Amino acid sequence: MPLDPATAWRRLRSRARPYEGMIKAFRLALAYALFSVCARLAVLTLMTYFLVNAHQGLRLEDISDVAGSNEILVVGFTALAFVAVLRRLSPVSGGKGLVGLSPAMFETRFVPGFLRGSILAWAFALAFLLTGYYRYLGFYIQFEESVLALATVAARIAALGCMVYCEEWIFRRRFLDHARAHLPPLPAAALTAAVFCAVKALQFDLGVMHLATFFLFALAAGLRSIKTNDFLYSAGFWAALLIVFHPLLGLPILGSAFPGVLMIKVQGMEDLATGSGLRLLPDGTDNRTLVFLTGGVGGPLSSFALQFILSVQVAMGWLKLGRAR
Amino acid sequence: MAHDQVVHTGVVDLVLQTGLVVQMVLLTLVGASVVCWAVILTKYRGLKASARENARFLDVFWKSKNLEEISRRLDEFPKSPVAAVFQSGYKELRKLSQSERTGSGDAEVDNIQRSLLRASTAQVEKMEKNVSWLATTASAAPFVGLFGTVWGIMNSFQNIGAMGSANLAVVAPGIAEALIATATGLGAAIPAVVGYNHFAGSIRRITVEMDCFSQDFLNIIQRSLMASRKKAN
Repeated sequence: MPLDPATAWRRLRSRARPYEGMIKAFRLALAYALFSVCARLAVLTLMTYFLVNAHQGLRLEDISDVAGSNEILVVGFTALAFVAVLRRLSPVSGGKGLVGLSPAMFETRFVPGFLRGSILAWAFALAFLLTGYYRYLGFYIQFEESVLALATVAARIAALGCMVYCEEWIFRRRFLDHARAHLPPLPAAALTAAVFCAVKALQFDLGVMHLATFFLFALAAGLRSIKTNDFLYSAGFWAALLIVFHPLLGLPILGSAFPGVLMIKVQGMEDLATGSGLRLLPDGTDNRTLVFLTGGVGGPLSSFALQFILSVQVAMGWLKLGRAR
Repeated sequence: MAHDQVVHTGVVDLVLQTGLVVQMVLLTLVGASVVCWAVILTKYRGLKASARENARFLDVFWKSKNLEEISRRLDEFPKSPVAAVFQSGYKELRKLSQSERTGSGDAEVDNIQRSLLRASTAQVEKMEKNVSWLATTASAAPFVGLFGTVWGIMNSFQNIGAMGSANLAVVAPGIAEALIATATGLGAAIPAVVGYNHFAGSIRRITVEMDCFSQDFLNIIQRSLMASRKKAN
């Protein structure tokens, strides 16, 4: 006898009840991804409308360039809007204010992570400058346009801060909490990291190396969050890496290039960009090694050196978690 | 044109040109190195914190007037192995003082000594956890690397045989590719050796501190028992 749809639905729901937490987690991730995609689409539509009206004979590539250079701003503020909407709809999710971040939490948990991340990012850049893989081109901001340039830098810092804090809240707090109820620590952290990477791949045009870095960071942050029950330290750490690399040092991240406050470029990247092939550098290292270590045009988030450091952090997180248990 | 001739001399090119076995060896060594660095950093921080808290605890211990006062402040030293040893000895002392006295004073001291020894051994075991990984990597990584090199050179010689010539231009690239495995093995082993020796020294120092403290603590207990016995007589 065939089942009527209502009974089938009831049976499905009763069977899915033990996995309700996981379903909620995936629903949250999906909602965030959809919200982000819709917001990007809306911004792109508005951008196209205004640009086409303002400039006659504008090509699609120009619009794409403008949209691409503002991608981080759009994703960052979209993440903030999503978390704000979510907290408005469900005010029981803890903490005060728009996104649940109090000054005390910021000072005791976010700032230490931020400091450690800054030290790592500056040490990373300094190491590559000393080895000659990076070139320092000077202070980018000109006196005549300092207000505009500083405002752009500040907007980018704010967008990155919002994106990191909100995504850490979504994935390392909400998603991971649900996943932990069903899975052991390492698989829960790995699943959260995989979903985080999937969302990032949807938001930005990222390569395998970039995604590997995201996965390693998300895994390390997940393990730390499970041990300490705190996602803010990792948020601070990741925010510092992105802020120092991108708006301060002018290195490309998430497929987006930006001049930054100080201008640092990867040695020999012009040759790759113009398609003139690989060339031998004075120290005997060809560009392929340089690209592998520094990330090349993909920026430091595609770098094997950073991935090695993050792998060490994952292993440390795992060792600490084992000791705590 | 100079740019048309691509020169592959970098480390990445050498890795890419090696065979599957050598690449697997390299991956294993990089994985071992990652774990080594994680152990080194975790242990470095942990042992540094232990040594710092030990010093602070001993300062509090010698300046305090009674054991109860020290036991109240134990929460301030969560990472101090000496504080953990003290806690164990003090707990045993409390249990003995609460129970009815049937044995001699020496038996009580023996009980406390056993409890101190047990706590001390547990602390050493905790400090030594994962350090053996460093020793394993330090001793095995060069051999694993060497295995990769030998395998690479075997393949390289087979290729030379197939080509039928043995000049430097034919032999050298294969050997260079193979040697990257030994270099990676040494790269994993050297920090592991340095870390292992450093941590072995640190753990030995902390163990000596715990032993000395145990002896001092027992002396204090014995002195106080003798004094109370004198009073009773």
